[in-house]
Amino acid sequence: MQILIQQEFEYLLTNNPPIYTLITEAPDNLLAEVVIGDDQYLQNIRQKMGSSIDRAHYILIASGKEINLANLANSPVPYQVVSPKAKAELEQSLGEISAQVNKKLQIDLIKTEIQRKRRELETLNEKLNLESQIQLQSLVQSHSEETQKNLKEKSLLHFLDFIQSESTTEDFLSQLLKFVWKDLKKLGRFYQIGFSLKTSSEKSNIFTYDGLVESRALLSADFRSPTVALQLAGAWGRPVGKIMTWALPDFSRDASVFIEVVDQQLSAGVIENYFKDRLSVLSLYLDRWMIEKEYEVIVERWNRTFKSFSGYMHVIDENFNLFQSNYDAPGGEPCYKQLAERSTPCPQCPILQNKNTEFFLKEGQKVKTYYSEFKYKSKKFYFVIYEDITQLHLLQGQMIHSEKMSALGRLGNHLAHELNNPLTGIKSYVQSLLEPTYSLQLAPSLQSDLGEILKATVRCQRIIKNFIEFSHQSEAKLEDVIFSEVLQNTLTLLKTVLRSHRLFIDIKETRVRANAHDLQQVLFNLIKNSCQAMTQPGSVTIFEEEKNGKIYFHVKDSGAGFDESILKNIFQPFMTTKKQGEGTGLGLYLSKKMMKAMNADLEVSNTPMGAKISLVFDKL
Amino acid sequence: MNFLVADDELLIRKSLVRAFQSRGHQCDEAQNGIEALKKISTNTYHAILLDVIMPDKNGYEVLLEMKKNIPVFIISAFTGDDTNISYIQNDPRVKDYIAKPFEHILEVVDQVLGKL
Repeated sequence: MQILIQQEFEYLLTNNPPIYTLITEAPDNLLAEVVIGDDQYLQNIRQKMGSSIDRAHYILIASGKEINLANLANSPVPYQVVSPKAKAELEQSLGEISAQVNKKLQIDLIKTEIQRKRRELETLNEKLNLESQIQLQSLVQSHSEETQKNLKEKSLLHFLDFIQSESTTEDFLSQLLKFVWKDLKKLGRFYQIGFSLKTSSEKSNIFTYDGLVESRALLSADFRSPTVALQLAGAWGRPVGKIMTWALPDFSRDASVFIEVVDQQLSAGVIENYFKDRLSVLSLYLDRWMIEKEYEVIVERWNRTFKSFSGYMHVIDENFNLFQSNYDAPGGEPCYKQLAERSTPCPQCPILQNKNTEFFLKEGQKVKTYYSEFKYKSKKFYFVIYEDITQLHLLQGQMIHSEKMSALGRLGNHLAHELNNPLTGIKSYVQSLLEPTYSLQLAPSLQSDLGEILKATVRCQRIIKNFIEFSHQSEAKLEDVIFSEVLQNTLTLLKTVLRSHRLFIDIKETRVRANAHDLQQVLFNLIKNSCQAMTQPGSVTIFEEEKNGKIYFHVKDSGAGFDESILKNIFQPFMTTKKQGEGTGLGLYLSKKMMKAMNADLEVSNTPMGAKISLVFDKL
Repeated sequence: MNFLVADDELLIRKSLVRAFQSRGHQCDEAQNGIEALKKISTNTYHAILLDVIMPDKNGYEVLLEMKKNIPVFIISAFTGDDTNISYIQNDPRVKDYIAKPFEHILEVVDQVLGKL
């Protein structure tokens, strides 16, 4: 501790060892801790040193009387008063002061230390701040990178999500274009996005979307060529911006995705990355969608063809189980049950006969079958087509009938007209004879006979007319007739014919359904035949019989009977045993025809007695 | 009046002769076309009944070759092919067609007499 002491009072401080440094002469920049002196001295020092000595402790050596209380009170620095004689008090004060100074020193030291430390702290703080800023920055950066990556992944996930949910819908391609458009819009400006698909011809189907309008066109454009922009310009008839294309990998045919860019600021790299990440998934799903669509179209077309076939078509296995049919087949029943309503397979089934067959599937339905065999998963299957030929069958029958009729008709017509000539002659001549000028000269019986001839000729002409009409397919009118009545009418005409023979009749009053007129013709014909067959006087027997639900009227003669050789063909037209010019051979043929037209029948047989012709009617 | 019937059917000829006679007229017969033409050239007839289908010159031929202006009645079976012949249709001598078969021979005669 440095003490500035007035020389006079030096004697107050005598200590061994010297603890204090005593200075008597004050240098200009003295830093003393204590200044000891009297009032005057202190003031001088104070004046001299100025404020630099303000920190020091002042000890005023003064006796009690010299204390200026006012000074004491007004002094800017505190000071102690020590009497000049109080050496021990002074030392004590000095000791206290010394302790204070030491303390102060220590405090100062500590303060300095603190300051130093504080500065250190500040530096550290700054450093720390800096460090943390750097950290933050890198964190922010890595976060933004993360975010970027996240966004990318999100976008990709979103894309995958979209693909998976939309790839089975009808308009997947359209939705896809719109989706990618939306994604790409975030990356920059471009004009339109498109998809090109090469068809089997040289052209490609181009689908485009420009944010508003979807369009589709068939153009010649090769997206793998560097001049594609030019080709498109030609096709679209307008200048075309830059075309960026990406060929779809592993696609079933040449396909590409492209965008038309008009804004050069678009970051090609980003777009490239976008597509690079998505191309294979896109390709995979799009390809599958296209194939499925085409497959659907094909299946639809096949189904429609299959179902539109007018006949039956089905696929069956060896056990007649149905696998596919173009008709409704409920219940899983076998084909013979479904189509033919049978409990067992059709005997004429092509797969049983091992060839295409024609048969009646159902009553009134004739079919022609075509079948083919194929193996699938080592099982045998049959594809069978049924063509309904019922109409054809009927038509053929009709045609044959028509042809026969036509041939016969023509012949018959000609014949009929030929017949009319002599008949007209007979009729006219008899008419002329019956004219009063002549008839009065005739016997009454002859007149009546002539009348009968007239009636007969009229009847003949009617037969001919019927025949002509019949050959033009007209129907005979049926009614309920009493057979015996018709028979009696007929017999009147056959008086001459029957004159030399005996007639036996055994007929009841039975009714039958017939055409009276035609029946008369038939009877006339039959009885006449019988009579003509008997070369010698014989007998004609007409009798009735009921058998097997039918009514038989037999006309039996006592002649030689039919030749066995002609029995077979007896109902054929132009079959006659009479000499040429006698008889036309049409009698039995026409008779049979007439009977058939009445839903009746005619039968011939031989008996030991002679020939027998029977008219067969349904029982009423 | 005197008539000629040309027809190959005997009974038709005979019946027409009788029928005309019963009406108080005479009637000649011709079996075929040649005979008809011969008789036409040698005799006078007020009308001719001409069958179309005849042997040795048919009705058409008789009509073509006949020079005299005598009324003609065509007897036809009306099969359709004989009445459409133009020279029959256009020949003014053809007065009427008589359809075969006849309903009544006297009606035929009256039909002819009515047209004269």
